[in-house]
Amino acid sequence: MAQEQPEGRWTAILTEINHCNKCGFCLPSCPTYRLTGQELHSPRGRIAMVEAAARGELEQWSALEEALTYCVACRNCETACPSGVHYARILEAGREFLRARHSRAFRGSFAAQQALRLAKYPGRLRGLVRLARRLTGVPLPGAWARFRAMLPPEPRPLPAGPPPRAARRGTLLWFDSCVMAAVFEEANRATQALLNAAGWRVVTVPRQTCCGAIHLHSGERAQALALARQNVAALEAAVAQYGAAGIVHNAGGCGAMLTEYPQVLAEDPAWAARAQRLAGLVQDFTALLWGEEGPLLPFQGNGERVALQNSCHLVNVAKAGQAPVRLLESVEGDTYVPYYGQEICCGSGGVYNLNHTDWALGILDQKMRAVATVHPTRIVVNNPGCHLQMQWGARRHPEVGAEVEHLATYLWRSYVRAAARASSEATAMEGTAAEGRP
Amino acid sequence: MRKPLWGALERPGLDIQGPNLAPDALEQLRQRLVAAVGAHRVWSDAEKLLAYSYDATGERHLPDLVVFVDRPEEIGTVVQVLGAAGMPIIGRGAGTNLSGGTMPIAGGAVLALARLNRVREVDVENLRAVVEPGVVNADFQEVLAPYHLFFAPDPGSHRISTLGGNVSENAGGPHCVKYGVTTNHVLGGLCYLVDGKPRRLPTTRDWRGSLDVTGLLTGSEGTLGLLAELELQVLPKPPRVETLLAAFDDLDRATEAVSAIIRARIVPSTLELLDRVSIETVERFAHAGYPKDAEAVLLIEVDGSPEAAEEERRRVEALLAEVGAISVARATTPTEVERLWKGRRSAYGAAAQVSSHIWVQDVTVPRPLLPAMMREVNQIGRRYGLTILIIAHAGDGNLHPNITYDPADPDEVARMHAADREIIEACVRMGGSITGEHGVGIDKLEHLALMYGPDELAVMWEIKAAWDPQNLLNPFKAVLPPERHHRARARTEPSRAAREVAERIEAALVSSKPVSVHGSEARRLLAPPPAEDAPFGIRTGHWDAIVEVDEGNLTVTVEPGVTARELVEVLAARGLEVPSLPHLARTVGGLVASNARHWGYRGLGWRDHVVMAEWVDGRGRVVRFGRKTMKNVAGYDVTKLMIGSWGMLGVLTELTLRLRPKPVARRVGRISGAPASDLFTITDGLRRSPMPPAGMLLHLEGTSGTLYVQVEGADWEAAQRRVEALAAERGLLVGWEDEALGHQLDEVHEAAVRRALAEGSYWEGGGLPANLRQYWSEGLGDEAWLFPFSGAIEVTRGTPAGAAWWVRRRIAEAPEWRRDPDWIEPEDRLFRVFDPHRLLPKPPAPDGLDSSR
Repeated sequence: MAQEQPEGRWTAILTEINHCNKCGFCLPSCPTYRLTGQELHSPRGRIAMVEAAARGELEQWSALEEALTYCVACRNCETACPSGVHYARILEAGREFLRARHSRAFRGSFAAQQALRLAKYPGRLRGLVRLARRLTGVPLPGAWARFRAMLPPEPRPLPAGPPPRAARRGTLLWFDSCVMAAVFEEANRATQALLNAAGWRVVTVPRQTCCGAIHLHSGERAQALALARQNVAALEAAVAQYGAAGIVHNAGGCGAMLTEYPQVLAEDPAWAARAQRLAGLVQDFTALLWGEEGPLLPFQGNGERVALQNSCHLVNVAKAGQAPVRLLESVEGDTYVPYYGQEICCGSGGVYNLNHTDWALGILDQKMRAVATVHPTRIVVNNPGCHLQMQWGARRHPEVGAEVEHLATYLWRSYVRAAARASSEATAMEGTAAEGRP
Repeated sequence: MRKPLWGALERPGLDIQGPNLAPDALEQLRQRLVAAVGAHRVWSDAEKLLAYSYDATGERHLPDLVVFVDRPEEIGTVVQVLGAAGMPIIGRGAGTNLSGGTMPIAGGAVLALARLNRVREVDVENLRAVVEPGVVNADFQEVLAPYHLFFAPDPGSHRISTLGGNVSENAGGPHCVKYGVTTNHVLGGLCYLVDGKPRRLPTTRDWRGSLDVTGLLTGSEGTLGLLAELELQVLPKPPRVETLLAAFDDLDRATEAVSAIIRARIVPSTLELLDRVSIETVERFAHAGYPKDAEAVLLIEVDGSPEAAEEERRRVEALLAEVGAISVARATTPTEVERLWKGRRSAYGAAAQVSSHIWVQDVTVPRPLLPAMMREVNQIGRRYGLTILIIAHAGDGNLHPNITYDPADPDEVARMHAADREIIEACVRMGGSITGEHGVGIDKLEHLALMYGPDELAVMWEIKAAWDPQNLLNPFKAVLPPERHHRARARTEPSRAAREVAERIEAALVSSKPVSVHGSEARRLLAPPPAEDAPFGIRTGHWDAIVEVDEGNLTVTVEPGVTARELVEVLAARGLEVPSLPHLARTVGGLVASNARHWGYRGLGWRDHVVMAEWVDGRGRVVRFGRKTMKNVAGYDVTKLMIGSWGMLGVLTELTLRLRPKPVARRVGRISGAPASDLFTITDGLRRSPMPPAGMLLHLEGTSGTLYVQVEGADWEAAQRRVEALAAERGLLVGWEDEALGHQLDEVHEAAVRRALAEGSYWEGGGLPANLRQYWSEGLGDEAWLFPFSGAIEVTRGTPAGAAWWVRRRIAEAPEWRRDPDWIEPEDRLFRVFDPHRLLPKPPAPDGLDSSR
């Protein structure tokens, strides 16, 4: 007997679950299974628990709650699944089922709730970050104290580049991640500068707000829907106004959320249709720096060994994880170092690291051990949550000896270096030509 | 009585009640476990247990407990606690098996071993690694990669399945055609039988002193013991792999291409076949770029040195053109290799998208029957209105018909099961094995009786009962009590030798007098002697027929009295050989029964070559285990026990051996009269070479000696250069001759062994190959024969000083065997299965040697 879930919803979820052959191919892709070695904390185990609930085999909820609580929702299992099971739908259905039973499991810690609130007000978040950076000696409120290690050091100033070329490629709408805006402003500037250099005009979308991803994954569904609607309206207006060729972002998680708006808003067909029209326009900045014959800009490195912590949702949801890799491979003079276990989540998971700090750190420690095997001097990231988490990892594991940086600032510096070299070579050429003159 | 979970199938013979401990008894047990491993590592909450109710087979059965093991030694304690409470114990790794092997069908405690995931040691010197059972196959390969080593078994699930699971199921994979299955790569390890005592597994190398219980445990699906540590053979990665994808407009032409490649004496490292339905499905869902109009494609790889691999690839291409492939694609970059493999790798997933579920079947037939079997499967599919995708490891006759179905459609489920059974029946009719690499689990228990007669079924169950009398270790998996088989196949038709031997043994049984067995065996003086009053002499030397040479299948079936020399010559005339055969007058039966080593083969000896054996045991039962296929086991690998059993378990009456094409070239090099220490340096270097020679023998007399090296096959020149380079570094020269030098060496060595045995001055045994130098420096008598690949030692003159390494010797009048004290009792239990009346000889244990008991 199905348990008190709307009949249609359970039927739909059981149909989805029916595609799971329990083959286990998802296990190695799952950060919590790798951490615990326990089925209950694997995608297959979580699906099995939701299946049991849907089939009326559960009499209480603690096991289901435990299974669904610790999922980071990186969705790497969806990429690994040979049968194409939509894991996130099953996870969401299970979490909703528990919420309807007033489970407290997904309420989030104090710090996480604060973070959700702050995300809607980038200005306040930015102020708080500045304060925390300045007052390193001052104790933070208890709930926040242990997270100070996530805070990146004061950013290095971005070097000035050559003047941008004419915007011959078209106009892009800039979708700003709230955390990026607050903590990683220079990465935003670098992203826009790179796009400009590549010939794109970039316009910031007025009246945009937080994408709502962390709210959705924290069970604040109503909040998430409200934020989604506000963004859809703002983006629609901007597309109409500027005739934009695309909506660009530099935060994999936020971008993936935009592409998922049609599913998020599915219960409201009119909004879903509007979101659907926008979803096809969303692109990560890296895709827009790659042309038909290769990178649109030259990149010159500095003898570094560069590892990538790709945004899980960019890879697993937006399916756009290859562009960052291709760009890194194109950097002359640096070595891009792939490593075993690279595709595994770092444990950031939006506010997962605020809610389940011990698990997040366990996952992070595994990540740092994996990345250490290739001895990187630099770890680049392309999502603010991952940035904060990897920063924490670098502090916890000084033996790795790698600096953490956003992909955009890294690429910008490499571009400036390449441009400088090209111009000095050009000067030298001119000089040679001048000397050769009779 | 527990509530059945959705998805549980009705299975004949498996209407089993769980332990059903009373709640307070279960709570007491839980507390004892908590005391042993800690509260957070014992789960008893019924709802959490649901996460351990399934594996990749698709059924669900609830366990009573889950215990997480973090350190190998905890297994012993936990097994003792659970055993005392009569609680079944189900070992589990990643739970990816496809036969229900990890399902708690009778309730019980799941022992979750996935957290035992440390690689303890990568021993580059000895080409071995020591790992915990929960290490994932792909993770292990990753650890080995920087050493340019690899572990040959790589089943389709290698990204997640654990090595403990691979060994317990004797997993296969796409590279078996060249490298064999998992059992060919297990060297030893640590295991817990149901008494909870740790036991070091006897080595599987050719100098072992025990029964091959390691071979028995491999593939026993956790029903005989729990593996706590594994010692695995690792191999140098071949420097070059060439990958081809050939398409055919006719299935028969594709299988003809397989035969043509085998006939041309090429041993590819991969030979995979996809049929039309598979290609269509793969193209629809994975877009691998396979030719859509093809009836079949073959994915072919050859490996070796760059020159040899390229040369073989060209020969394969020529053969494909000759047979009439419609297209052949060749990969020249890693991306292209990836692309050619993509269709094969995504076949399972693509099938899973056709319908909600797929039933993965796994059967083997002798390779020449593969086309017939594929046609049969297609007919069955049509008859039942089912979509069946066939993927075959065509090189070893192993096919996976994948049947798509929807578990929510009872009619389709019923048709799927009916079709499944017909496929298995067809495979048995063709002389195949009902499982190639997925195991019996619970899924094929009901089919065991199609493949085996009542005596084989009884023997397997008696082995289980001998080691696990309470049926606690993974009960009702792999083997069943005979009364639960509701239909049994007729007794196997015995060979003429078996009929005669059975008569003799029955006569002996009536009079309760022991028997003696006489082949023309040179090593008889080392064998356990028959009881003095053995009036029933059985002679085996006159059964000397070569029953069948199956060239397409690469097997030969012989009677035990055939001499090695005769067999070598008969096979050579057909361009074939058995790698471990010396060119001598000794009988094949004697060589196998005494596990006689041969220096020209660097693998694990006879256990790599014997695929089927028939014998008569001490109860007069004629049994036949194994099949004419490389993936030859369903249930227990009882054949392994007979190899090197020295007549203690029964009298061998027929043997089927795996053949290989005789290598295109074979050269034997000799470095004579050189200082022993230089020769050790050379052998150590050759063992680790990416192009190792086929075999080595070091003949030492005091401080100097002669090294013989055999190089062969497509890579012989690369191997020869390596030998010469290493010799030159020590200022030594190598003289090369053809294989007649090897035959001469066989005779000289044989004469030395015979003389030593006759004079009562013979020792044999071994150790880690890299330790041979140390054994020598401690003193190996006046004349010794060392086998640098296996680590075997034979001393034929003088008295060795070190005593750590020997397992058998003959000094003065009688043979002496040194038995491993840990295994005396389990071995004695096996002797009672086959020979409860002690008609056959038993190990000669000299006084004092097993006083440690």
